[in-house]
Amino acid sequence: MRHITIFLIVALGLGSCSLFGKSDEGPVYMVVDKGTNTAISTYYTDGSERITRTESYDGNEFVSRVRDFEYDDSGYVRAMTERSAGGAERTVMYTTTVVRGESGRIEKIVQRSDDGEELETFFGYDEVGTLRGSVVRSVGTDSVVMKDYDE
Amino acid sequence: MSSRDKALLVALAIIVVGVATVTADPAQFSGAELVFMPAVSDMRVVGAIMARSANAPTPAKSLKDLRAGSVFINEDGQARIVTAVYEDRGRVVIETEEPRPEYVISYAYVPDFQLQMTMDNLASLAPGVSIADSSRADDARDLFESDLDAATRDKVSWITTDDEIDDMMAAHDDLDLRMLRIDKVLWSSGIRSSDVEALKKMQSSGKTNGTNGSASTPGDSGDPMDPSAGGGTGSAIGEGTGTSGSGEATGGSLGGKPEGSAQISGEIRLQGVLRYILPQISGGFKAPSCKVSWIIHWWHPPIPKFEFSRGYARVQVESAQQFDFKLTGTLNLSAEVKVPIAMFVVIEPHTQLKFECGLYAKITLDGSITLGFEVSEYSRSEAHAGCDLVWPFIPVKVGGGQDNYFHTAFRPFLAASAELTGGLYVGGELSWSGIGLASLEAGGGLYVGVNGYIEPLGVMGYDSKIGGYGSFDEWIIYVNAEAGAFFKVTLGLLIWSHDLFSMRWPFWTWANQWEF
Repeated sequence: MRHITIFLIVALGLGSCSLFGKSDEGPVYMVVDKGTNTAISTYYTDGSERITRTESYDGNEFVSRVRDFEYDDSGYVRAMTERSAGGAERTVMYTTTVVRGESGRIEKIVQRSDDGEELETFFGYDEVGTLRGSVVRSVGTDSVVMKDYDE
Repeated sequence: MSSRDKALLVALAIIVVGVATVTADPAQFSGAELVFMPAVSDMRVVGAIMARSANAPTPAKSLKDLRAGSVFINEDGQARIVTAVYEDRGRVVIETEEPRPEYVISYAYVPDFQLQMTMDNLASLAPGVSIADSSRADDARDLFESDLDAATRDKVSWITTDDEIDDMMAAHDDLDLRMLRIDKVLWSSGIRSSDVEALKKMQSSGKTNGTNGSASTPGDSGDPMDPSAGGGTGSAIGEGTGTSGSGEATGGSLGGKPEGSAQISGEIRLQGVLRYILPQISGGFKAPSCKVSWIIHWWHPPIPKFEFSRGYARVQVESAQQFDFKLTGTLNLSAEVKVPIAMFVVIEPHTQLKFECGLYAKITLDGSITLGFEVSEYSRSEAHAGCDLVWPFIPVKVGGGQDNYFHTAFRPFLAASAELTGGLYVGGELSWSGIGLASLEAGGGLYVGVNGYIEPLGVMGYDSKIGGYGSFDEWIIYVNAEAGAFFKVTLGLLIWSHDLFSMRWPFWTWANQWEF
């Protein structure tokens, strides 16, 4: 009888933790360099696994830069606040425009920031409608970064 | 090509390749193209390649999907490959290392570029280093674009005055020549005779009275923390500051005990001007690629067909600089003997304020000896390297070269000066507890001074084109002496002193030089 009582108490405790203990904070990921065994950066996430904060470290594992992110309702980044070790702080606001084709597929996303940068991301689909690649173009410099997705 | 040159060129090629792999943001290079491998995850929040979810692009990304072997771009734009994932104290630790380039990019192209370093790229300046007021100059076209001629080599081009620097800075305006001035005391120290006496007094007093000084004053209350009794921290080493409350408040006398003081100080100092052209870097990069297609015929199974295209990497760095500096070690000696003739003293016993004035004779000796080296160093370098890149990233046809010129010249010198003065003064000084607060004195007398130097008639140096040159076979000794009368009025406030009026009337001068 005594063992059954203890089991019930423990089970109730675990159950309440899983039911009511969920917070808005998600896992914290620390990226370390295997060779030097030093931290490179830390990612903080929310309950939806979105990255809410990043910390970058210098070679002596001192924080060199912190970035905080806010997202809009569609999940695109809306604001980024950056603080450097020297004390400088800046906040950049972003607006994201999604362009869809006739079929309703996303064909282009334009991201503009209030510091003058503009990025266009184009998406390519094959004949059966599978998303096969994307191209990010920096409007100012006309430089591009591309990627093919795995089939 | 020597093995050292090959190593340099390979290192440059690796630097170019390394820049392309670790810097995922090509925005600083106009027209750059970068293609990630399909398995690469872009974990940057802003400007990243989006992930694919349910056959649609999604801004959501999660690090939970990273496994050993995953390649990702982190928030700093660096490519990393995961070697292990584990939990530690509530955090998920992602152990990574730098991946090989072919794991990250399948294609990269950086059009020919040219980067001119600017003063904005200057990260920091060492203490004692300052930027010259004028920021552009050049006498310097011949200086930084050619080897030195014989006339220039035979002198140490030490720049001594601001005017010379400004003249040089204003001479030309077409080269981006910068100047940094360096004036840094590397070491200094000094000791006064009063310090020695105070130390001796402290030692003897400490031996006699113990460590709290409680027996040093008649008004001792026995409490070591009672300032009125001369205790507390002010007398912790045995020299009580309490007073008896009695004694002469004012007084005058004829004659008195001569007071002597001496001071020795020394320093090692580095002064110089660094002139340099802001480095210019140019280069270009194209990654090798491999394209796979299939040959399909009905009479045999599909055969893969590989098409390789070569890439390249090239970089060129140009720079030039000249550093003229003087390293000196100086020893200064000053001694003073003050012989009171008629003095009047007022002391306020409670505040320890003291005013002293009168007529006195003063003999001073000031001397210095300096050993120094003047050095001029100049170098100009142009290095270029290039190679073809075969898929995945194998450098072939590594080639390049360098054109360096280096020159340095130096000469030592020894200089010394001494001056002896003797005269009568009228002066007054207000002091508190032995610390001079303000003083004023006027007087005149006779002086005799001598200074001189010894230095070689030429320089020794090394030139990368002609090798070592020069000698110190011939030297010169120069001596200058002067005697005369002087009169001056000096105002002193705490440690600051200034001659309000100073005049000299030399009646004998002598100068000579010997070459040997």
